[in-house]
Amino acid sequence: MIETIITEMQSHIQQLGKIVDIAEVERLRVKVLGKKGIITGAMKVLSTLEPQERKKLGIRLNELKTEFLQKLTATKMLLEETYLEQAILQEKVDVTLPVSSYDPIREGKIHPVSQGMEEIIEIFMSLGFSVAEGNDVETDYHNFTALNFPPSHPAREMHDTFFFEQDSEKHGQYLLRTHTSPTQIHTMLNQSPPYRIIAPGRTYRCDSDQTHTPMFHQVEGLVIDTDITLSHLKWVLEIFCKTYFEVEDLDMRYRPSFFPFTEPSLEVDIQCKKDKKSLQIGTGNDWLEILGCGMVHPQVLKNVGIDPDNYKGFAFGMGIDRLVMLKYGIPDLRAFFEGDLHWLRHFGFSVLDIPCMYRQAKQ
Amino acid sequence: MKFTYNWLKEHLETSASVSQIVECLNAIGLEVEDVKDPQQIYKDFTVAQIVKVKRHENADKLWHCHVCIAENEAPVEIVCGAPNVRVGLKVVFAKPKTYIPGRDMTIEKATIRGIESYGMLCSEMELLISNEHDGIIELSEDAIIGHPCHTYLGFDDVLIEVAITPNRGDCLGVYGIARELAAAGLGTLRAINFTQYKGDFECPITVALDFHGKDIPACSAFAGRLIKGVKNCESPLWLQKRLQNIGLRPISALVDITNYITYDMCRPLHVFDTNKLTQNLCARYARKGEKFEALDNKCYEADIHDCVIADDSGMLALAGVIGGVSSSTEMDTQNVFIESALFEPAIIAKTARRLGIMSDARQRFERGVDKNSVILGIEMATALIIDICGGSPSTIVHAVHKNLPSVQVLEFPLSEIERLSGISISEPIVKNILEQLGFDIKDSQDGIYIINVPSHRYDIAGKADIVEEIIRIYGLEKIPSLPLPRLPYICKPLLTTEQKTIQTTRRLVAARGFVEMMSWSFIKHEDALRFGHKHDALKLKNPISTAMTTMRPSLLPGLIAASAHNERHGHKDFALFELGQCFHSLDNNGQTLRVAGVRTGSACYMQQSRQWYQSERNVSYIEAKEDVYAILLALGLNKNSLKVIDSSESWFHPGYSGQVGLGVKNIIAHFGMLHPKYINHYDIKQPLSIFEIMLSDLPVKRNKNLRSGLDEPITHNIYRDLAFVVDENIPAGEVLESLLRADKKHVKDIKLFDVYQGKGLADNEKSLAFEIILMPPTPNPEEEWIGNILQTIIRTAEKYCQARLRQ
Repeated sequence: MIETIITEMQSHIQQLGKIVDIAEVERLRVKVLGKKGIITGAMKVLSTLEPQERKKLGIRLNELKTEFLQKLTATKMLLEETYLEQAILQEKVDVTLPVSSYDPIREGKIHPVSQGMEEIIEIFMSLGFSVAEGNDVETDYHNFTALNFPPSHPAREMHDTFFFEQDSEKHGQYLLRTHTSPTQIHTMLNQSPPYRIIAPGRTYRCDSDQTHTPMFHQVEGLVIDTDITLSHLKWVLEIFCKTYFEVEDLDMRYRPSFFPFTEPSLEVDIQCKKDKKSLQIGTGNDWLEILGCGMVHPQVLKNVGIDPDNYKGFAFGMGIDRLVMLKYGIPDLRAFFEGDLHWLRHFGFSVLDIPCMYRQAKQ
Repeated sequence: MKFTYNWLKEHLETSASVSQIVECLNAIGLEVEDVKDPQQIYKDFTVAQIVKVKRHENADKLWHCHVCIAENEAPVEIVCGAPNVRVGLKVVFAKPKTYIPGRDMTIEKATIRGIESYGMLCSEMELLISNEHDGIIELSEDAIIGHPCHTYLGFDDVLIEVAITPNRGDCLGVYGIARELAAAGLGTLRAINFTQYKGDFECPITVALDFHGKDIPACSAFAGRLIKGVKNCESPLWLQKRLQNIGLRPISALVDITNYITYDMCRPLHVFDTNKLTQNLCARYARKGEKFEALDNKCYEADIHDCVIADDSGMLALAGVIGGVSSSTEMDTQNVFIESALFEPAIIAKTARRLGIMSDARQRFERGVDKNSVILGIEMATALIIDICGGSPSTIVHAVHKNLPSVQVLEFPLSEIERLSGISISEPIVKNILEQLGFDIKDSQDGIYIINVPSHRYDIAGKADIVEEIIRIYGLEKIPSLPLPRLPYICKPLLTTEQKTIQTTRRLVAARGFVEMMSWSFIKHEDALRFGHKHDALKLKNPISTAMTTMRPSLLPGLIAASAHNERHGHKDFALFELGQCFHSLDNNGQTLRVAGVRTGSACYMQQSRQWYQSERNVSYIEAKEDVYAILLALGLNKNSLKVIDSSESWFHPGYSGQVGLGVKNIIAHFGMLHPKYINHYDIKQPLSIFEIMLSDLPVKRNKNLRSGLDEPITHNIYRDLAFVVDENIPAGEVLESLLRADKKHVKDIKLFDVYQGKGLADNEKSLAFEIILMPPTPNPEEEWIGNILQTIIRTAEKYCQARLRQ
């Protein structure tokens, strides 16, 4: 009886090697190992035998069972693999079908003036400046009087400055600030020295031609302390210009000039190379005026209640739009505010182009 | 201010070259705007002589000329159309490949109607000398063939033009510029020599100041002299050339002399023909309605604040601005009165600006003319008039106001130089610079100078001004640059909250596919009215155009205008945004920061235009709402604090728009579709999905460094779907809010994933399908526990939203 079972097991083990259908493997498993399978039957038979015989045949039967199981698992795995391979062969796509050419991160653009403003802020922050802000709508007092503009100064005329009809309560006529300098006054009136601020923002003048727009952007700088001199001003501007234009050995020229709110007053030129088509910063024999600056006028300090014999310092102001045009070779100022997509996409900056002082070095 | 190199050398003894002078002028604050060296400009134009002229065979108006361009060379043939060609004429010749400035082109050898023309004979227009183009330039007979032409054209001097800052009126004269250059070490200033005429007779004309005791009169000194028996004529060549070189047209000797002294000494003068005057002259304010015809042949009406020179019959001149026709000198003038005066700069500036008159006198008087030059001017003019026109001078008459500005004295501690500039300069150098500039050091004690400010300087009022004088002459380049010291305490926050919001929001919005634009802060008044403008105070008094009259109340008008512009230029499916200030009142708080965006066509957030694997979708109100939420949440607002309100501003489509508030009243954003009537008005083709967020109204986010402790991660959330049928008028948001309130402890979140109307439902019903996410206290909760919570949710829906569970 047992002998038959053993023969049968051996035959099934052999059979496993020939099976090609995975369902057949399962059927064979049930036939051998199922509840009513060969092994179960063999166990019943074994229990009727003499202990010695039972032990011997039991061991033999167990060996066969183990062998069957191993072979079964191997066969199953082999067949499954073959099945998967065949099934995969049916799954196929056209990988040349295009992906979307659109990605919001690439589509989005930052306006060159915003980018420039952030770059400028970044540089001055590294020099210990903080950012101050002011309103676009100002008063005659903050825009002119406090900044030592005499009453008859031409900038106060209608052909230079945008005015509103209404007067402020205490500070004269309301107007659109013509420069970011009123921020100096607000800062000094609202805080106590020392000051070390920059103030970027929109400014307005009644001017419209090829190189002027009635609205433009400026950044103001103010440093006041007991020990600040022109030497510090020079250093700050040199570091700024070199960092901003990414030219390590940028030549700069200082010319005496005149502004009502600084004394001494200076204008600063940077070295450049001009030809008919392009303008290159940091090389060549031409000069390009880029900013005005000077030591804050003693009268301005007095106007905000600071003793000019104790405190002193410098201020500077520059046009952001122009700095951006120069750095990135953008030709036409008027296009800045037209909202033309063709222009914005071409001159705009990537969202990921976050201003950082340690940019890739120039080749 | 224009002057020439040789003119400068009359006042400055120097061996400096033009380029050295230019460099020095820039360095000391007289910015050189232009240098014109005729030798350079006209180097390619030479003297030639026409040796043969005949009519062009094929053209009536052209001449076929043979021109000798160099001695001992065969003449060249040139075709020329000028009417004044003739044999023997010396002309200005340009050979082929020469650049012709007046035509902005380079000429080439050309065949003109069958005759080859070798170069060009030039007119004044072609050389940019004048607009004259009726004929070619005729050079004098002594011009040497083949030589450069500029000396024969009268251009033998280098022209230098400098920009004079408003504080430096004293440099509007060649002498003043020479003084500056001498101080900067470029030569020696020559002393002014002038004759003082005693006068051959008493001046019969009287001068007076009529200002009724004003503290600061419009005219503080008025002097003059009569010269009898002059013979006006054309100025001598040297004087004509000098004026021509700086672009002035010679008129007659009497006028040219005053112009010359204006430019030479920065001393404007005026000459009257005394045969046209009554005997008494005075300086006074104009009377109401007083009119006169000025030398520019225009009629001006004076204002009672204008200062005028008048005789008994009325005003003769706008003082310090422009003379009048009625009293002007002419070629037959025999008796001339020279007027020299001192006017109040502010009054001159105001008058000239109001009337829009630009004159050499105004330019100088509005900046301040040397108070010691009144008599000097008369004497210099007298010498020149007598020399050129003859005549006999009278004594000088003058009237001086009791408040004539006196010498200004300043105390100057030498330490101030280093205190402001950071550089220490030795005393002898300081002293020399100040003296060269005309400052008079009266006394020096314990390092403090007592200084008399020179009479020609009106811009020196304090110590800082003196420091500027010293360092600009000493050399700004010598000031070392010194690192700004690090402040000894912690820096204040570098970016303001607003700056941080600006920078974050800008990149956030751009990352959603929006292109940033910047538009004008002032817009058309009607546009402002359409978009919520309420305060007429925000209208500019003097706008530059009707399209820029009113401060914008919203960023949307600019974005909409740009959308229309871009549609017209062939763009579709685009998204634009702007971040900037909007204006609501004039006071300090009237300005707010906003961000707004517009999407058109199929410019949805993650998808644009047609894709083979996705169906195309056009933008709707939901894109705008999505943008608002994405921005607000990214800026740190809590979703649960936001309330959506079903109402909107008038510029939105009333059915497709809404607002987001922090509560019902505190609206912080609008979203939706632009109102169709504005789509038509602004001539836009596609609907616009728009949003605007009031960034200034967002609550300030407090940044805490310390984070709360980490919770146990929940890995056993249970997900179940429920669909409810509700009346179609019940807002989905309300249903969702009710459901979220049902069991806050165990319901983690509920998401609405489907809205259905149609088959299987009544006409006025809709089905809302939700995914419920439960947080059981322990893993593998009993089905009964789940069932109970779902029942609570269902009961809530039934009770608050009259909903029924959809089976």
